[in-house]
Amino acid sequence: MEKKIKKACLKTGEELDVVLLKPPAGDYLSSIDRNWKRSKEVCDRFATRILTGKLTDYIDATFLFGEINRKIVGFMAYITPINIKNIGNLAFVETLNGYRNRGIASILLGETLKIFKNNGGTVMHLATDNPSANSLYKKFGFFNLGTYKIMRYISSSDNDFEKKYYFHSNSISARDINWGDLPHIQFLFSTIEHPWLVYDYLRCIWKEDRKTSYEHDFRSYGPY
Amino acid sequence: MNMILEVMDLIESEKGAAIVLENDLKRVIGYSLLIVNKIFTGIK
Repeated sequence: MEKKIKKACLKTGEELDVVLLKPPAGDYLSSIDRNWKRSKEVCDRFATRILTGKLTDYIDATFLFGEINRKIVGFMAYITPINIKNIGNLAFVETLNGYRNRGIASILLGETLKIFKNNGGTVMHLATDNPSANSLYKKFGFFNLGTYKIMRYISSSDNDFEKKYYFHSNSISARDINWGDLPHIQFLFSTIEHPWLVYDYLRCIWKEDRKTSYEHDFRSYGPY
Repeated sequence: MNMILEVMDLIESEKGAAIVLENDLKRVIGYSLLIVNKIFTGIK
């Protein structure tokens, strides 16, 4: 269900409506499709599965859309596991061609982080290859982790968060992976001091030191 | 995150399998992936 949560003024003087959406998207999904049919991110199977509510048993997703005169001109989302609210991933960040450099992503990111923190969020990760997006994220406190294209945001100055998060406990169990594990696993990968073996897996697949890959890269290079 | 999605897609397409290790605080502290006859494991 979508809800307008804010009006903001852009650099150009236009008014941006910020719309919050919690899946399932319902009728709003058709306006996303109409405006964004050429967007690879929204066409992404994962985004579609989240938006249509198919992963609500595993993932709590919060989408923010920017609208000018009811036209969607930008969006982003963050996801948390359904049972843990203090870690999250920022994903699906995009501004429509022709509407860039007006401050839309900046407004959406500010609101996203505010909502994340108000809901108990502490650490958020993202992966980006885009240098101009990188500077936006840095403005909001994200920092690069090692040489990887992963960035981390910590909402408090709690430098021991990682240690506390992984506080030793007595009982450990194994279970099947599910979609809600994505933020957990990104947190594991983001731990600087450990060369997580999924990186080695990617080197095996792509024969190069790729840390992130977009779908078109996957199609271009492909597994050997 | 896209690389993780690709791993999940492999699992969903039944070309791979994975388990995670979870502690009693519901923190995922490790995983083991089986992808195309290769096993990859990591633990915190």
